Amino acid sequence: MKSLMVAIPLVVMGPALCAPQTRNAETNANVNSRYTVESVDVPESYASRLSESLKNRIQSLVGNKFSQELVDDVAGRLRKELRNRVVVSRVAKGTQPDHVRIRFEITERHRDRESASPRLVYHSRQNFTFGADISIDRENNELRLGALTDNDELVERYSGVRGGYRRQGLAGGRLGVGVEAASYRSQWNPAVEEGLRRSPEVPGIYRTRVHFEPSATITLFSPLTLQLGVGLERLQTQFPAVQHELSGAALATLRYQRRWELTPGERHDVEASYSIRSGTRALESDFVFTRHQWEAGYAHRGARDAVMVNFQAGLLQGRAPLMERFTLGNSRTLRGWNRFDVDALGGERMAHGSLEYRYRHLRMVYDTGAVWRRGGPAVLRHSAAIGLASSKTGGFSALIAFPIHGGAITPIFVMGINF
Amino acid sequence: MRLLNPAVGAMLAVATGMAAETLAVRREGGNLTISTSQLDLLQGSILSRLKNGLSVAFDLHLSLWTGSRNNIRRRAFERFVVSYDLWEEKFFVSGLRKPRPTASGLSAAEVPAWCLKQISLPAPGLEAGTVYGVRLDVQLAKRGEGSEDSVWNADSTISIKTLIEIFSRPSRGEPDRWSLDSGPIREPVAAPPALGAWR
Repeated sequence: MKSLMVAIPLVVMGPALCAPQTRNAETNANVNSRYTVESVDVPESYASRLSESLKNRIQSLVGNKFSQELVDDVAGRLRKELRNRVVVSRVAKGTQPDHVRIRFEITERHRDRESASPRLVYHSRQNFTFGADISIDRENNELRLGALTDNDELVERYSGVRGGYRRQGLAGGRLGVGVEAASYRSQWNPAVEEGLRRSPEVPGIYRTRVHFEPSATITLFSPLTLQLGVGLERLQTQFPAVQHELSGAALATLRYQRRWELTPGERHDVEASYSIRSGTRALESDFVFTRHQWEAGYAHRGARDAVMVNFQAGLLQGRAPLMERFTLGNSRTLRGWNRFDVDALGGERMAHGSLEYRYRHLRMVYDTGAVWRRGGPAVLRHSAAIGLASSKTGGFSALIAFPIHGGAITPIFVMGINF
Repeated sequence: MRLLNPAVGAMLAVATGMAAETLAVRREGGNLTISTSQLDLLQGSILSRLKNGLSVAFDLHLSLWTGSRNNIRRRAFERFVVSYDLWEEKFFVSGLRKPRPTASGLSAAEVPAWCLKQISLPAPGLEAGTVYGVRLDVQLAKRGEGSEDSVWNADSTISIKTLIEIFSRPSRGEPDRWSLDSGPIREPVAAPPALGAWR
C-alpha cells in the first residue's frame, strides 16, 4: 500500500496542536505515552481527500509524545470525513529507540454492500410518490434495482421499474462506466391534457416510455467530474394514433462536489453542476432539442443546526418530449404551490432558489422561482414552509407550506422521507 | 459437567446468565480477597488491540451477597487500563484510583491476577452459619467509536447489513464481559476453646 509519510517539523504546528493533551487519565495510562511519535502514515489515496484541519491535526502528532486520546480523535475524524470506511489505528516500534510509528489503516467499510434508498412523499395536492432502490455494491461494481411511482418531479405520474449497473475504478480510478434502464407507464393529470389542447406546439402525451442510458464518468481532477453518455427514450404516444417515437439525446454533465470539515461536527458542502442534453437526428431522434440545466448548492451543517442554499436554472430549446420540460411546485421546489397551478405543461425556462434552515427538528424553507414559456412572461412566485424533520440531513420530514403574495391561501401539506 | 473443561463451564454459565463458580475467596486481615485461574482477559481482538499499542480498559465489579445472590451486601468497583509496552514487549496495568496503582513488566496471564489483587471487600461481620458468596463481573469498557452503527447513513440510505446487525444482536464473536462466582460459603461456627485452655 502506498502511503503518505507525514513528517512535518514542529515549526509549522500551532501551539495548541503541539502540546500533548492531558484531558483523559485513562488514555494517559497507556505505557506507550512515554515514547515519541516518529511518523504517521495515512494511505496516500485517502490523504488527498482530507480537510486541511485534519491534515494539520495528523501532522501535529509527529514529534510529540504518543497520546492515545489524540490518535483516537484523529481516527474518529477520519471516519467522519471518509464516510463508509473502516479506520483502524496501529502503533508500532519506530526505527529509533523510544520512538513509535502510527499507521491509520483505511478500508472500504462494506466491500460487499447492500443499501436501500427509499423515497416516500405525500403532497396534499399531488398525492403519493413512492420509490425504493436496492443497491448492491461489490468492490467497484454497483448493481441497482428499483421500483417507483412518482407524481412529484415531472409533468406526468410515471410508474415502473428501473435498474442500472456501474463499474468504477477504471483507468487508475479516473473512469467509471455504466448503463441505466427503466420502463415506465405514464399517467396524466386532466390539467395537462387541457393545457395541451391550448398549446398544440407542445408534443403530446405518451402512454409508456422505455429509457436506456449508457454513460461514462471521467474524473478530470478531484472533485470535478464529467459524465458523457447517450439517453434513448422510446415513447408510445396515444394521440392522434398509437405509435412509437424515439427521443435520442447526447448528454454531458460537469459536476463539482466538495466537502470541508473545518472542525469536528461542522461540515460545509458545495455542489455545482451543469448538464446538457441534446436531442439530435444523428441518433435518429424524432425530437430535436437542447436542454441546459444549472444547479448549485451550499450546505453548512453544525452540531445543532443546518443552513442549505440551492439554486437551479434551466433552458430548453427546440421540440422536446414532455418529460424534458421544467416544473416547479412540488416537494422540492416552490413548496407552497401546486405544479399544475403554476404551469400544468411545465416550461422551457426555469429559475429557482431555495433557502432552508434547520434547528434540531425544526425545519423552515423559503422558495422562490419562476417557470415560463419561450417568449412568455416570467411570473416570480414565492413560498414559505415550516415543519419538523427527524434529522439535519434527510430522514422523515413534514412541512406545511404557504404561497406568498398570491396563489391559493390553502396550505399545502408535504410529508415523507428524503425530500 | 465434570468432564467439561472449567473454562467451557464458565462460558456456559455466562451464556445462561449465571456466573461460573470458580472464584476463590480468602480473608486477609479485615478484607475478603479473591483469586481465580479462570479469567483470561487478554485474547482475540483485545490482545490484538494491545499489541497495536493501544490501551484497553476493564471495569471490575465485586459484590458480596448473603443468603441469596439477589441480596447484595457490599460492592467494590475498579477500572484498570491495560497497555502493551511496544519496546519492552510486556504489559502495563494502571488503576485509575488515587494513589494510582501500577504494574509493569507483566505477562498476559499475570494481568488479571494483578488486577484481582487490587480489589477487595471489607469482610462482613456475619453470624456463624450465614451463607454468603462473592461475585466478580468484569466488563470491557467501551470506547467511543462515533456513530457508525446508525441505521441512516449520511447519504440517507439504509444499510441492510447494519439493519441485520442491529436486529441480530448480540453478534459479537468474542466475550466482552466475564462473570465468576465463589458459590455459597458458610460462615464457620466459632470453634470452642481447646480443653487445654481450661485451668
